[in-house]
Amino acid sequence: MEVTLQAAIGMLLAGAKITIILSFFSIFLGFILGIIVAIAEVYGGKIVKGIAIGYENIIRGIPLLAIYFILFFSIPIMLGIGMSPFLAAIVGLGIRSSAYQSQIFRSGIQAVDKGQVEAAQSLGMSNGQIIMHVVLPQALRFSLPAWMNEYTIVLKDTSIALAIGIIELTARANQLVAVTVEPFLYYGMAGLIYLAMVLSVSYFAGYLSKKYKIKGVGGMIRA
Amino acid sequence: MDKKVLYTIIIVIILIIAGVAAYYAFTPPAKEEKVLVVGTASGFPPFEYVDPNTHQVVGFDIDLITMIAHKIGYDKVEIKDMEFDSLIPALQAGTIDVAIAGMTITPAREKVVDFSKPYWHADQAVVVRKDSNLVVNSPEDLHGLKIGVQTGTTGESYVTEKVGKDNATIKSYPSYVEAVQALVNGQIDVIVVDTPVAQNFVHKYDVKIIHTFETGETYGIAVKKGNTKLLNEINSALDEIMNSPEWNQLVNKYFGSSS
Amino acid sequence: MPEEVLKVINLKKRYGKNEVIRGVSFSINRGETKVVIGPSGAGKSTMLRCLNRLVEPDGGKIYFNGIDITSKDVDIREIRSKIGFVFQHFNLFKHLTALDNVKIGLKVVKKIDDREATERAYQALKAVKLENEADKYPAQLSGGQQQRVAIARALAMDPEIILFDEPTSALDPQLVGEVLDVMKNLAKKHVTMLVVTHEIGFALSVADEVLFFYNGVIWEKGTPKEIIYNPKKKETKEFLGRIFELYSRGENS
Repeated sequence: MEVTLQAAIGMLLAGAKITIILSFFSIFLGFILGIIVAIAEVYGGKIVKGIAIGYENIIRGIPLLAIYFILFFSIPIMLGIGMSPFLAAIVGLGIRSSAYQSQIFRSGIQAVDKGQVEAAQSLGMSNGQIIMHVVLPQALRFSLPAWMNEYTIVLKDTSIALAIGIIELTARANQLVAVTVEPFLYYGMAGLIYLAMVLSVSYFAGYLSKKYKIKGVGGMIRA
Repeated sequence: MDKKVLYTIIIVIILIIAGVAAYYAFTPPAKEEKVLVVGTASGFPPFEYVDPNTHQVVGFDIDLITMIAHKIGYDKVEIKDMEFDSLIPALQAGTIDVAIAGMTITPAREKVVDFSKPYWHADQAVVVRKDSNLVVNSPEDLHGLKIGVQTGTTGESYVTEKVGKDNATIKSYPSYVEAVQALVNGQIDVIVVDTPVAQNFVHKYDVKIIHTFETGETYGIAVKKGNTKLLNEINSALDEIMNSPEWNQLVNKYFGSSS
Repeated sequence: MPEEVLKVINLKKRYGKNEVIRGVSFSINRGETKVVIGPSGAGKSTMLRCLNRLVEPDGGKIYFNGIDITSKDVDIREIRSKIGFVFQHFNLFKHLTALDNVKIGLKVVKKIDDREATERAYQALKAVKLENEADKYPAQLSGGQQQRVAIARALAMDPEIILFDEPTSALDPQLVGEVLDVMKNLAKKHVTMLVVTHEIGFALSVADEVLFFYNGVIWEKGTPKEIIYNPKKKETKEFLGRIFELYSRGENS
């Protein structure tokens, strides 16, 4: 079957759109869960800390494909409630990423020295205020490089969502190759689109670290 | 104060996520029409593939299931494209009503899903380079050769069984595309692959089909185990279609004049 | 009748088997400056941290304006907001400018609106002579400047008392003076202060009373002149002897 270049690009871009949307929602779900888990690990009591560490280890131990199958196939069979493939993909990827992001944020939080926490306490701040105004603003800056790296991983892992029927960039490339038998051309094009996404992300990361650099403090990676 | 902006952004994002989640979780699909949800795995032309111009999944299987659906009283079909390995879990989870994806009826699969009567014979084509002077008329003729197959397909099990790992080098590839590349590059001597798949790629490369093995294996439509009512309806519709001129038209549309 | 801001009765703290504070009692009246001296590692910092419960005491009573703040019913955060604390290592918030370091307590804890918080923070920086460095980040300031910002941060909260935990020990010698000058100024304005320090000169010039902390208790106390020039107890004499030796050596080098 012959395919025009225009049609092929249209198809790949349609896939790229899904990849971007999926990765965006997943990374933010992972971000929110990851911060909660990290805070629980650093500041939680024995039980809370145990639950958080257990969550992190269990999630990191399960392959993403298995998380998808549990969310999309096992849960409906067991509980009789379904999730749309797109929601399942976001939740699956988000949960998976949260277990990695929590590690990133944990070391970011630990890089904020205890003296500042003590100073904030002595001003009369609550634990929540200390986390919001003192710890997180610095911890997030420390975490930015590793976090952007995690985003590129999530971006690439979106392709696994094909298992539950999400047709993203890789799936679109597969479809093109199936009808044209031109793997080099279409996988190459898909590769270039991924590259463009990753480069935009690292450009954005560079912009952010410049904008939010703490003056007088060396590199942001210093922690 | 840019902190306020930051918190606003975070809150807005949380709300968006929550909104999307709620939308997908709680909005029931407006089901006035009777819809047959069909699972397939595109990437297997001409049975199911995506038309790059429309981005729709099309193909022999899609036309066939659409005809069947209309005959048994469905208003429309909803195609869910996924990976081949996800089809059976999807049937079991009730995410799809039927699976049609050039799926070979095997005893292992019959344990977990129910199959319709066969609608296609999964014959295996023997493909070689155009300049090759190999002659293959029986599995024995493949002895001593490097044979490429696609993982998990009838071709793989046929070659493993009839030729054997001791008599030839059998290389499995994740998709037939890699196998074709290996053949063209001279890494293997021959490919054994589903006939329609072979017909799809022979004109693209300097390769030719030199023989067809009749394997006795067949494709069927799968439904959730125990869904006898739907299965019976599908079977009688299939009977009706295969004994009508519609069948030949369908075959001609996707396979030219020969079948 | 002088007004007691802080009254400590029989304060105790132990870490495992190690009893760091073994029954400390003293009090400070409004407007007084008291200086705590004593050997390093003896628990002076721990004692100071017990006073706003950054460290939980194991026993004893602490009355702040007559309220027992060791009671579980007390809102310790509200109490802390009225007790300034200046740390040995400054502990400024590194992501905030000098001005924002001073403002944050006003805005977050006291919920004062931005304009007024800015004005008050600016006044506090002025009091430590850093109004021209308001927009600099901690890493851009010298140690002495950072400690002055930390003092401004405590001051801006309009505290009833400020606790100083060896505020000059982490500073290069040439930067000690500027911080002590600020503190002397506060003492002259009758800001209530409890200062843990080795700066004998500071004690002599502004302290109303000097407490010698030794072996987990207040070993000896009196006016600066009594304690520094005429200590009664052997341990106080020995400690001061070492301090003088250290200082004269420092001046000769």
